[in-house]
Amino acid sequence: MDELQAVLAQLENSNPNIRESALDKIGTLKPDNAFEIILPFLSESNPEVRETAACNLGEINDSRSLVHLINLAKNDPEEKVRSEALSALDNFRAPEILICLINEVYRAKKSRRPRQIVAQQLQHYDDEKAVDALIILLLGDEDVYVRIFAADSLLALNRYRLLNVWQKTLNDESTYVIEIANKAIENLQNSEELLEAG
Amino acid sequence: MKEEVEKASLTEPSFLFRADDYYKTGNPVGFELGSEDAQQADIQNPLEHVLDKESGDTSIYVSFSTAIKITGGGGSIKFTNKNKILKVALEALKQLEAEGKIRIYTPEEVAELIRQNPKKKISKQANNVKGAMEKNGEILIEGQIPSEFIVPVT
Repeated sequence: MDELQAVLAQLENSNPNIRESALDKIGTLKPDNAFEIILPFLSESNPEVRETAACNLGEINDSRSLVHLINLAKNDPEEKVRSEALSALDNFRAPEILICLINEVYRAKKSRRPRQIVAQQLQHYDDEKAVDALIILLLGDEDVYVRIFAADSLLALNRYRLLNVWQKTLNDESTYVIEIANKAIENLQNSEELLEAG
Repeated sequence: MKEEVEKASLTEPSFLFRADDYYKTGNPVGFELGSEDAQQADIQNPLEHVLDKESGDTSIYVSFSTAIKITGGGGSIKFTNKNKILKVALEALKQLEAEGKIRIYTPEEVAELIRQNPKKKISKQANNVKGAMEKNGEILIEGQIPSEFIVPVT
């Protein structure tokens, strides 16, 4: 029996840890039918297995995964599964992902990870709606681990309309966030001086 | 507004700090290693503590920071209601660790624990957690720090 056959057999095992390990191997081996193999596990009753399926669906670089990961990020009852689906979306770039990420910012807060993932991924979308969502996270989130990544992402998307936001950010409790705010203000001031000089 | 930033040196901090509105003077911080409280805590691994801890969850780990901003005068720390900051000398913590009373986890050590996890969904987060902890100057302590080592800053 070759390696793939052995892994396929493990996917039938009643032990969820063995099924998870097999899903990880499918994500690494990336057989041609990886998408078809992994997809049914998004509907497993065990949330740990759904989480692992989402992780590996993101790894196989198949654009058909997108709609399923977005659906999972929006609708799965388990916060951990939604988080993993959001994390897996980082393997893709698409307008529908941006909408999904922005919607997450307005969702009732339960745990850190989904908001942290959104704060990280929004930097890949040079779009005013992404900037608005990041401002909400930077100025309004009580969790420093969210604000740190929101600050990093906003620095990557820095623009003049953020000057006021960065000035407010100088009151943050985090020395790192303040450091980023100072850097962003300095970058904006340098750009302005360059424009005036030009 | 008077502002003071206590920040450790780049090489070795002298103190670790903790913002804790619920700390009562004279109490220790954290659960004793192996105690019933520790065994019953909601969070039992560093990844969950750093990434998945939800409000109200108990944890065997306590977060400290190598750098903290303390705001006095008319201001207040933005997200701590009572502005209560504690500090503990790193030397004292190292002594407690040598005595087997606590364990100290740096960002690199936490990342290594996460990296060794056999599940990909966990191990892939090692660098992310390390980066987040470093940016926040965070150190995790497992175990109990006796009250005599805890100094209120504000």
